[in-house]
Amino acid sequence: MSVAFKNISLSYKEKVILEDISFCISRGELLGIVGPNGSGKTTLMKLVAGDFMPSKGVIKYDDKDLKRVSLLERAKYRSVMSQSQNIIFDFTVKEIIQMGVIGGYGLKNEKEVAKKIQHIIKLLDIEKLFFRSIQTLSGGEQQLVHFARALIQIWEMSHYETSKYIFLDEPTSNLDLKQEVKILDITKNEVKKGLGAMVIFHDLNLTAHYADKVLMLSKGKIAAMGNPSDIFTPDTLEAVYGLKVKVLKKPFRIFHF
Amino acid sequence: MISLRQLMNTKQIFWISVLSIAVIFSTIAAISFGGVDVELKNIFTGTISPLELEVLANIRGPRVLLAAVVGAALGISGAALQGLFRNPLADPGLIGVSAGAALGAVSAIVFFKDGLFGLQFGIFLVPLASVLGSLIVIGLIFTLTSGFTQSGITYMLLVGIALNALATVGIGFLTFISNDSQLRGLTYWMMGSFGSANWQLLIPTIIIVTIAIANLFMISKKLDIIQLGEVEAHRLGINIRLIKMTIVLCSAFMIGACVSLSGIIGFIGLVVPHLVRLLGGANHTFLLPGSALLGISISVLSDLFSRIVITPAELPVGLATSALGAPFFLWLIIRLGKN
Repeated sequence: MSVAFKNISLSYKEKVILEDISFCISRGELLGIVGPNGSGKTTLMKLVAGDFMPSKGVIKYDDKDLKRVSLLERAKYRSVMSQSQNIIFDFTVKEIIQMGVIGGYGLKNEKEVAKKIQHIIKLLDIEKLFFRSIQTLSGGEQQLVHFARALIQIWEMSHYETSKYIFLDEPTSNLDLKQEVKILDITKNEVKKGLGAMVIFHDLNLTAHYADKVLMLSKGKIAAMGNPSDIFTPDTLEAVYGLKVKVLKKPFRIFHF
Repeated sequence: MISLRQLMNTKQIFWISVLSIAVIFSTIAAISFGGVDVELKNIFTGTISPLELEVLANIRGPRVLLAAVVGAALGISGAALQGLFRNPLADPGLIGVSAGAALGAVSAIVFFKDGLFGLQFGIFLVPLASVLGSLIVIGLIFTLTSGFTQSGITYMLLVGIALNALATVGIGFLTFISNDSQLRGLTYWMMGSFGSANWQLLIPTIIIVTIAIANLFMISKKLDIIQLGEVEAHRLGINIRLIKMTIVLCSAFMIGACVSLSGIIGFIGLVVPHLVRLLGGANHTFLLPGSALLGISISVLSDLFSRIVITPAELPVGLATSALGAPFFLWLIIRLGKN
C-alpha cells in the first residue's frame, strides 16, 4: 500500500523537466523532498497530486494507475497544500476549512463535520480566527487555515484505517518558528497514526529532524535518496547546492558558514 | 432533503426575505404606475375598467415580467461568472456573450428584417439571431480553449474579451452602413428597453431562464470551492470542465434570449453581485438567489423610472441602469484601490 512513482519523466516542448524518477511513499512515513530552486520539486508534487500526467512512466495510488482513479476517489485518498493561495472574495475561515471536507461542505453529516472541524481548529489553535474573513488574516495565519483545510480532507480521529496521504509544498514558508514547529509536529503525529506524507522542505535541518526518508532532486533527477543522516553529506550537498557545508553528526546539524 | 439552514446562515436568510419582499413591492409599484395608473385592488373587487385590463394583460404585465426575467438573468449570471473567473469585474458583457447576442440581433435588423427571412420568421427573427450570436461566441470560446480546458480560467476570460472587442467592431460597422430608419431602431435597442415585450416571445425566454437558473443553483456549492483556485478545486474532486460548461452555457442562453428582447442593459450583471456580497457574504448558495432577487428589483424599478420620469415619452432603460450602475462601479474601484 503506497503511492508509487515508476520511471517518471516529464518534458515540455523538448525541455526535460523531470527524468526517470522512481520512488514510493508508504503509510506511516514522512518523505522529505529537497533540492535547489528550479530542481523540479513543485512539479513533482503536482504530478503526484494528479494535476497533470507524466510524459513517461506510471504513478500508482495503491497499485491502481492514477489515470484510472476518479477525481472524487483521489480527493478522498490524498490532500494537497500549495505554496500559496489567493482567495478573491470575502469567505470566512469556517467556510474555507469546510471546503476541505469532501462532500461535507455544509451538507451531509453536519454534526460529524462540525465535530471534526472543532478538533482541527483546536489542534492548530486557530479558534479565534474561525469566524473572521480570510482576507483580514496575515500571510502566516492564512497558511495555518489552508493547512487546516488540507488536513481535514483526509484526517482521521484515532488511526488511519485506510490508505491516506498528505502532500505539502513548503507548508511553513510564511510561518514564525513556533507555528513552523507546530505544523510539522502535527504532520509527524498524523504520520505516526498511519498517514503517509510527502513534504517539500526548504530548510535542510528541519528535513533531517522530521523526515523518515529524503529525496534530493537536482536538475530534474534524483541526486540522492535515503535516510537524512546518510545522504546529507558534505560532498552530496556541495554537488547539489554548489555550496561548501559542514555536517555535525550529533546532534545532526548542517552549517554553511 | 436540503433545508434552508444548510444553505445559508441566519443573516443571509433575513436578507433573502428582505429581497423577496422588495421584489413583491417593486413589482406591484411597476404594474401600478405608468402612462395609465392601474389600481390593483380593482382586480379583486371586480371593478377593473377594460382599459386597465388591456394595459395590464397586454402592455404592462408582459413588460414588467420581461424586466423581472432580464434582471434575474443578468444578476445571477453576473454572480456566477464573477465566481467562475474569480474576478470581481466579470459580467456577461466581459466574455463577449452580450456583444455576440447584440451582433446577431443587429445583423438581423440590418440585413434580414425586410427580406425573405423577415417574412418567414416574423417577430422571432431578431431573438433567434441574437441567441445564435451568443452561441457562436460560446462556440468560438469553446474551440479556442480546447473545450474549456486550455490553460485555466484567465485564458478563457482573455479569449472572451478579444471576442467581445471583435463583436463590438461588427456592431459598429453595421451601425455605420444601416439606413436612417434602421439606425433609429438600432440605437434605441442598443440603449435597452423592455417596451417590445409580448407573450409570444416572453414565454420561451422565461423557460430558458428558469432552466438556466435551476442549473446554476445546483452547482452553487462547487462554485464556492472554485474560490480556492482551479487547481485546488480539481484536487478536491471538482470536475472544473463541467462547471465551466454549465456556467458559460447557461449564461449564453439566458443572456442571448434576454438581450434579444430587451437590448443591452448595462451594469446589473456587474453591480448586483457586489451589493449582495456586501449584504450577507460571498457563498454562492446565498449569492446566486440573492443576485437574482436584487436583479429583479433593480431592473423592474429602473424600468418604472424610465417610464414615468418624462411621461408620456420614455427614457431607454439601459440609460437608467447605467446611470445608477456607473457611479457605483466607480465607488467600487476606489474602494478596491483603498484596500
